[in-house]
Amino acid sequence: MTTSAAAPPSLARLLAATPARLAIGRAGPRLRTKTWLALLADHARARDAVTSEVPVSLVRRLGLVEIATRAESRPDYVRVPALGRELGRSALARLRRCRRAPEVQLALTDGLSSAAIVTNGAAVLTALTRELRRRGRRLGTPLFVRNGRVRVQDEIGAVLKPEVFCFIVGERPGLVTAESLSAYVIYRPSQRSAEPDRTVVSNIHRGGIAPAVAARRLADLIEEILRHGASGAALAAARGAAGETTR
Amino acid sequence: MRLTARVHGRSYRFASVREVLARANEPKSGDALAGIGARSHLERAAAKRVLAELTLEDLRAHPVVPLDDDEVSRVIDAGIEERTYREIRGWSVGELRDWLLDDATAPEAIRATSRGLTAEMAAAVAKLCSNLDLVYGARKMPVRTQARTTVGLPGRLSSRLQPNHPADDPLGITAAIYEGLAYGAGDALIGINPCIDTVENVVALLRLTADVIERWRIPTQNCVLAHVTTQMRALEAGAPMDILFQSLAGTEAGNTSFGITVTMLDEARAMIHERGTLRAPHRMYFETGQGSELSAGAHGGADQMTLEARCYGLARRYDPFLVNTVVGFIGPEYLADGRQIVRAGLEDHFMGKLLGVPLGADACYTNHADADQNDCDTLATMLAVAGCNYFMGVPAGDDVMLSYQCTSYHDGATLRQLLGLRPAPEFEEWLTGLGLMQDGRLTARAGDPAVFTA
Repeated sequence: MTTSAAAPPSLARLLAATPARLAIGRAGPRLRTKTWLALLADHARARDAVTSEVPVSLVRRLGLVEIATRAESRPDYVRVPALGRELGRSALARLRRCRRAPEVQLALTDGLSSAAIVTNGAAVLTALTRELRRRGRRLGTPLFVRNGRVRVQDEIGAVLKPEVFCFIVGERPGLVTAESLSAYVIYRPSQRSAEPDRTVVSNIHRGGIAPAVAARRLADLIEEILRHGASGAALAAARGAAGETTR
Repeated sequence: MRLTARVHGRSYRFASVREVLARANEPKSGDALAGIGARSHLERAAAKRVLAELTLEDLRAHPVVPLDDDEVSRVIDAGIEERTYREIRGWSVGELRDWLLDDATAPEAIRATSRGLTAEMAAAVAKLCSNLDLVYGARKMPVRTQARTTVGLPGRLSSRLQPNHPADDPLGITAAIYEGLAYGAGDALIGINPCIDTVENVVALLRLTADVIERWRIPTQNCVLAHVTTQMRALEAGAPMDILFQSLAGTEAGNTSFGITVTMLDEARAMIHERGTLRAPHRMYFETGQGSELSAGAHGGADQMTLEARCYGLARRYDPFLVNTVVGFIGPEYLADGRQIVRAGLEDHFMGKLLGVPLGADACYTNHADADQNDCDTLATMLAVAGCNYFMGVPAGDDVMLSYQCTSYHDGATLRQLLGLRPAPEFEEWLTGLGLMQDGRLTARAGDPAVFTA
């Protein structure tokens, strides 16, 4: 807190403390052309992040097995959330060919931002895979879930039965960034899992938690979950009981 | 009570009043998601026809959630003024619509009738209205409230300054407040959505806003939109709080999902009146929005518009200073596109005003909805014409904490100048004293945050 003797912070210092669009002037009472065009471009980027598809070529390059939910298009996915929470017809057959009961299962899904997967997904997945291998963890077959929502993690988990499942999801885009990811990490997921069972690391993008930093943080988190045999609220309780500080 | 209609040679039969209300709704993706919307255009037209013939008594006798099952239903029913209700119970919904729009019906008459209406009645009549009906009707229903400023006076348009920050940084928030004030925003409220919902943080943000208000002697009030229980702990810790906030749902089950009950809200009201810093009759602020009940699996088969009206029926119990519908925030599962968001915003404002609640609006949209700033402009302009009490004011309309877009500081100023509307009188005087406003119009000096740092 500033004391009464200290000079109040300068306008420049105040403005530097926020990403909000301030000191932007006006054309009459309206936004100036420059501001308006910047907003339009940022909104266009956010809309494209929602409506576009993650290219199959990227999925192949990353060596991911692709499965789909019941949402067969981006518009269906956006309008009917339940479709994105359940696996599609061909998904089970593909999952049966994947490694069973790994220590750690990794998967990416487009969620509400394909752009987040395209821009940051590969970097997080590659770095996280390297971190986990270095620690000698047995990994499952990495997956890409097309048109997925967080809860489909439970159905996949019930089939593959990993100890820990880290699901990396494209976040609803904003104007400041359209390329943010969240990771939902859960211990022994099943159809009975609920939201409090997940530990979430969000804001993963170049202007937030950078992909390489996020990968290390997630690897540490996965180790912790394996050590405690718990995630989400149960992990927080276990940390408390062990006298550890919450990250 | 007749639940059948024949339209263009086809007969329609509805199972209940609740079903008629749902099928009579204008198209909404949320009603389709719940499987309760009209299955054809003709079915919608038939449902509207049945609804127009139902009496107000029919609607009171058949709330969309039974009284025995739901405390929101009980609160609304118990709040009805029986004498007023007895005078109008025989009216059909169609007659109520014609009466509201009639040139011979004065605003005072509507206000006097308001306390005889349940939420279902307000929703029913709005379902028979076109967008322009909703604008014209609402204009006849001003609702004025009083804190340090007077909000809702005819010819006035206020704004909630919403200086959110992705990490609750005090300097960044201060910057956004100064910019907003320089555009004449903030006469309804300086209200922050906190990123961190802890007592310590809520206390810090309340102190920050109270300090700005005191230093510049601003006739306005502060609020931090944390959960009601967090705010109560902040009050107990001695935080300088003017207005207490909570989100509402239109069913008891919906409110359970928000972690609130009527008893809890009653306690919160008692506490803000006892420990709050404001000395004024109205000290609470509620936010609502179509679809929140369905989102929580708590809609009980009722349509989202009727449930929204029930939020206002519940809000009425607390004589709030501000209520607003965060109409486009919930997402495309409930309101798919700009057309549905505009429609819902106009419905919400009309229903709220009809029930006597001081409705403002967060005309807004998320980036996964098929909507853009043009839709936001359209809705805000129509609502300003309709006499909406206030809008949000956000830097360039881009909320960098909640990642959605709504009305900007510029939009508030534009709508005032366009329609000859002025800020709340106390606030206008303050702006004039600072040289930011002259005769109700912004001066050349306005819009520069350096006014507050020079």
